[in-house]
Amino acid sequence: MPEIKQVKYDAQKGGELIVNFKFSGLVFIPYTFRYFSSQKIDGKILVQGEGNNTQPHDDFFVLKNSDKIDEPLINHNGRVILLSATVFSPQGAGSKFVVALEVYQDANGQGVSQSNFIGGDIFSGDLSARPSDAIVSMAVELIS
Amino acid sequence: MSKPIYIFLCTSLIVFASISCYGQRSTANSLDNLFFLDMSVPDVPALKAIGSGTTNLLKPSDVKEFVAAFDAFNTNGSITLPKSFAIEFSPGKALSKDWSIDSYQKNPLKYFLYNSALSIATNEGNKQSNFGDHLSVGFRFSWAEEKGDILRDKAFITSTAVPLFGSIHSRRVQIEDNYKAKKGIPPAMPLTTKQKEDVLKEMESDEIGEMVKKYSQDNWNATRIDIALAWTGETIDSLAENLHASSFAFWTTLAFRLGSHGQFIVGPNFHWFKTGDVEGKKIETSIPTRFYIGSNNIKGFIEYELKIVKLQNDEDQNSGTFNSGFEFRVKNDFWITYSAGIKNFFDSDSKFVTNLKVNYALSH
Repeated sequence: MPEIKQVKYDAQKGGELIVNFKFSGLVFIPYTFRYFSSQKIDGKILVQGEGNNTQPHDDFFVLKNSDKIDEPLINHNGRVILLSATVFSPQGAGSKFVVALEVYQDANGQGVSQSNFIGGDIFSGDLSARPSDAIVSMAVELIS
Repeated sequence: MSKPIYIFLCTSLIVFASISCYGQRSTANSLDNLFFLDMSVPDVPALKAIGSGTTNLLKPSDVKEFVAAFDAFNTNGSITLPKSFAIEFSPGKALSKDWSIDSYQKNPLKYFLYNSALSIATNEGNKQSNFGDHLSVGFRFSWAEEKGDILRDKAFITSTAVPLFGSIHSRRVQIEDNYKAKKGIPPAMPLTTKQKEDVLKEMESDEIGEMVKKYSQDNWNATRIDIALAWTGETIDSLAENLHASSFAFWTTLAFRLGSHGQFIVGPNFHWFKTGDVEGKKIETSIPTRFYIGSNNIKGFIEYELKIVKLQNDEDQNSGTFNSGFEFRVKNDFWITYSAGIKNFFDSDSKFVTNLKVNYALSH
């Protein structure tokens, strides 16, 4: 089974949870991010977003249940963030790239900052070694 | 040809051919390849410096990651084994694998490196005429208008590339959702390597290749400027010892887009020769002009070159060469150029010359 990395957050601390996606390499990467409910099996999608990295920029999404925007932070326990990215490389064989999924807990109003970073996952791809790297699939689970 | 040089070139060709075959096998799926432009192979400066072709025009085109060129299969009507070999490679393209597209567009140094190439060429001398073997090293930098460079063509990226990538990605997400449902995999689970390979097989398509191919077809005649130089050494023994400077060459080639199917090229160039003693020094200035008509895969050309040769302690010698020919793609990676012309067109000693050249460019 693929690994789902766990990211621990502090429900008592308050604030909001933010996910940020970063990409590097001479590549175009369209991606879809989904925020799933804690019942992984039923696959209920609470939030879905899309983007691409034709230009480097921060792509961050506030993790909220679109049906219950004001629900307490403790409810995020067990929820899963899934990133599906597809890599297109101008360089072709030999292209290297990095995709990072970062989670922040913003309890101090500083947003996406180093002090608010609480964890995430990172994927280093090399298309010449593994053509399947063209499909990036990574997930983290929030644990309170 | 000198043995060390010959062995070096043969080894280089075998290594690069192996890399090419491996690369094509490992990137059979459509998503991770095909962004390199598919335009015709440019003339290699090092090969041009040792006397390749009927005229001194250095044909411009986009810089390739690796090029091999063989010259003079057919000279003046007789078929011979190639006597000139050359390779051209771009270290900047190898260095670029961790760059971002944005940095390529904004950083002049990265742009310069990505569009520069080094070349090396040798040819076999004519011992009867007391001409030794030659070894030449060259450098080229190529600038193209935005519409000739797929990575800088923001209008194309925005209007064509990004929507196509988005469409393929959306299809992938759909295929992935169906795959998970069929295999009973929870929707929030990431895919394993094996599962990613299964999804990749289902989404194979040639859409990106077709997009790049069409871009190459639409922009083979882009306006561009190439600047190149080459140093040539000569040796008269077989071990490449006693190599001494023989000539230095400099080219500036300007190419202008003419509608959809034409291109006009003017390429002034200068060659300083030193053939062994002071008396043999000469400076050659050429102004070739060429007009292409056709498509990316097959095109014909007509050309006229004015050459002024300044010999030390002698009068200038002017000559003109009419030349025409065609260039076509044999297979994906191979291009053939054939030309026939009349040298010294206005003089009593005019002569008919032909040239056949084969170029190989590593494709993806």
